[in-house]
Amino acid sequence: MALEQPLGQSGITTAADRLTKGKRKDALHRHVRIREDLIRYSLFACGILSIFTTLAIVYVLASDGIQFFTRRGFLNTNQELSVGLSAEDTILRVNGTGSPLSVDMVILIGREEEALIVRQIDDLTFEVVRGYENTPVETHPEGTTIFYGKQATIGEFLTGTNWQPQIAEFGVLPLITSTLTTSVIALLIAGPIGLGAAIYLSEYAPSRLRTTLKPILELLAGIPTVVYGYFALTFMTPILQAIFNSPGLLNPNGDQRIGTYNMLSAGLVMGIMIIPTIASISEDSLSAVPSSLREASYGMGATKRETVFRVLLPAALSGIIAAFILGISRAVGETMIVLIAAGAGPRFTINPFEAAETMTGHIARISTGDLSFGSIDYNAIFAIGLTLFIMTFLLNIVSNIIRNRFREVYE
Amino acid sequence: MSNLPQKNDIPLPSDALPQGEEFQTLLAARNRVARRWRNLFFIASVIGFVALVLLFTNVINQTFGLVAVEYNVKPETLSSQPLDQLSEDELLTILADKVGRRLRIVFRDAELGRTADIQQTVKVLFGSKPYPPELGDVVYAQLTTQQVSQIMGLLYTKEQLLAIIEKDVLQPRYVESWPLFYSLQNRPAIEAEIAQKQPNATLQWRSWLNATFVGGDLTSDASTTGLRMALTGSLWIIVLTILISLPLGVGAAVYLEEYAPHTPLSNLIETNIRNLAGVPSIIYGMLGLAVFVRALGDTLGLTSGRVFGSTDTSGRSIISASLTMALLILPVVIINAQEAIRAVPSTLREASFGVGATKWQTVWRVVLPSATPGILTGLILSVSRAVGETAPLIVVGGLTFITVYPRNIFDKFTVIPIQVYSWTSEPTAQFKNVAAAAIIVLLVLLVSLNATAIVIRNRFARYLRGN
Repeated sequence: MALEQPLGQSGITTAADRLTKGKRKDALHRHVRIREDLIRYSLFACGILSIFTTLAIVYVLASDGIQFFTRRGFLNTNQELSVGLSAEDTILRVNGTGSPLSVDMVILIGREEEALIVRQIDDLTFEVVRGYENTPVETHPEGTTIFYGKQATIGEFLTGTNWQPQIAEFGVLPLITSTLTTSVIALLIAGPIGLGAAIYLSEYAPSRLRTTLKPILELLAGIPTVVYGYFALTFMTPILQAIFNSPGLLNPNGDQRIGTYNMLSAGLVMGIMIIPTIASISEDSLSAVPSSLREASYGMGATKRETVFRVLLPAALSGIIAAFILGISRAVGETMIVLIAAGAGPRFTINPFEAAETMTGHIARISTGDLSFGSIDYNAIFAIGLTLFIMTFLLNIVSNIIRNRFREVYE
Repeated sequence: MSNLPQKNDIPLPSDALPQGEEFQTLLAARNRVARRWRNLFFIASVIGFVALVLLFTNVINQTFGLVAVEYNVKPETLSSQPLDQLSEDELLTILADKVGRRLRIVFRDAELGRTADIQQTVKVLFGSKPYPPELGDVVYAQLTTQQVSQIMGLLYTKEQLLAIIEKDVLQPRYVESWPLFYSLQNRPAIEAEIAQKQPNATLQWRSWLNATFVGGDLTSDASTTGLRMALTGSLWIIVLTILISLPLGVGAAVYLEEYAPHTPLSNLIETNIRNLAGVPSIIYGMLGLAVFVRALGDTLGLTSGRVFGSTDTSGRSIISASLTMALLILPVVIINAQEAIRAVPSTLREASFGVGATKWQTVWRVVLPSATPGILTGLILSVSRAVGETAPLIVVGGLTFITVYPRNIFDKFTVIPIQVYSWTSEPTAQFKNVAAAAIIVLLVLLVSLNATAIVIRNRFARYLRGN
């Protein structure tokens, strides 16, 4: 310690000297203060909690989601028990009319809980292992239908076009296409409107109008999404039905094109919901463009529109792209609007007039009922959740990277 | 633009740029395009406002309007005068007349609840409430209709009696409802429709948002259901979420702003907090389902209250929901608190260190008091976001039909936005009206939270200036 030297050498008694006399030589070294340290550590714990939250999210989604790929959906073999199976029996006799059983096949008898595994084949008589994977052993009466298990694979999950894990249809694509359809509709609405609003607010609006319009946009961001969902179902859908279902230019025969639930209505309202997100980030990036660029453009005799399109938008492009990506990410993760207005039941379609369930809508609907822990549905929603998390996480990161890059240019 | 100098010192190839007449025409065209785009941009910025107006109008439109009512007993058969002009005694007579021996049960349900032990004496059951002293030792189940009517006369106001008559005698059923604007414009058409389709029904104005709705129990019937359970649930969760997220959020913000060294770890924490703010809310719901409901609740019995002796062993409890919500808003609370702490002038800190205060003394006595208004405002704003959140609570298990009020943090719950969702998805049309009324209550709750935030900010600002 450089300070200590002159203090010790001078004859003057300083306050520090008096306080530390006879205690420790290196008086100005850090004191050990237990209370201060404890507080420091507990504050650190609060800070690190966010890391734990992230880790917990990743762990939970990954562990329960990956377990999905060890699970089976069950399909009808059209085989029936020709002799009833008591709890002790290990010999299974079937009538042999449907698809044949094979070795190591996991079967259910009549949708009961017990899973059995087929071991040895002798035509229509099999030896079975009872109570596979700790399922409870039950008795099964004669004539019960037998179901065989089919395991979910990552390949089928990512490429299959049917989603119904209970009956071994593991394709997540229907949920993804509907998520993308609603999100794209939302972006088509919110992109131009949000950007237009941002341009107006940052370049045109007189300051008094600006102070009125900005809070209104923020108000739009504060409305609960369930209210937007209600708006979609009770306001937007009837209007769309009036436009597209009634006979006219768009629909000469007056066909029933739009039902109560459709992706268009959900997408449009979701677009309204993300206008504030896109507007506020785009506006930030527009106002970050140095005014010298504007002035140079006006100095050349350019009109305001020419300045906006030829100078400001290219300069703020990265920020605007970031805003759009963040908007998509918001739309992909939004639940209540699609749950209420887009309809229940996965459907592999990109036709916005149809009803189809999105990833978030499916997760919410499945967990609505009495979802039992460890059922295939439970694991299935975590597999979907993991997919959703990866999608939004990547979108957010890309958006942040792009935004930071543009900041470096002008700040 | 036209008064710009047309000639300048720099020599230009005069045939390359338009001059004179041509220049003026082109300029006018350019200005026209500019104006058109200006108008488009203006429209874009007003669309948000239009959407907001439509949204509110739609909710109002659904909350009020005409209804077609079918009565079990028509009000005009009870008395020649309108019911609300009758005296209390006349109302009691009508009630005793129409309900007869069932009056005891009606009264018990209204006053004592279904759980009351009717083998107890009036003295025990009514305790502090007024009742005729001579009835004191009579067992409730043995009271005559006359005597019950006497006690009701002492206990109830006219409005309460009218409500009981409506519920137990008239028993209105709303067979159809029309939104406000349609009701105002097409009343004759509605009347004609009623006369044809529901000859027994009468047409009435109804506000779906009323005292019986806000204070009533949850039922499966659109005309009698109420919001009180959801309101209670929402308030429980608001309070617990604040209690959990305030210390954690402020702690993290203090650490990051005052203590954290510039290491990769603190950078990681900062980045991570910003990324967490972008995670979809339903993912938090799944985190809550797996950690708070399943692991801590179902397996360990902590959030289900099993280890504390609670009999309801489901982890789908208020505390699980509040923990989930606290994690959900924590990133925003931290970011807001960081900004509030950053806004405290460093001269205050230096002055505190200068008089020999330790780091924590400085933080606790100097930094936090100055940052309090900012921290609280940010906290309340993030809580009001949590109040409107629905998806995570659905996943955590809030969408259950509950019949008992939550009494402690381990009980099942429902909240207003979940009721809005559940009523919206009911097939019966009248539930849409009920949902609209619930939305108004939700929005009022949000507005009052935000108003509180503003009041707190102004109060504290004045208080600090006063010091």
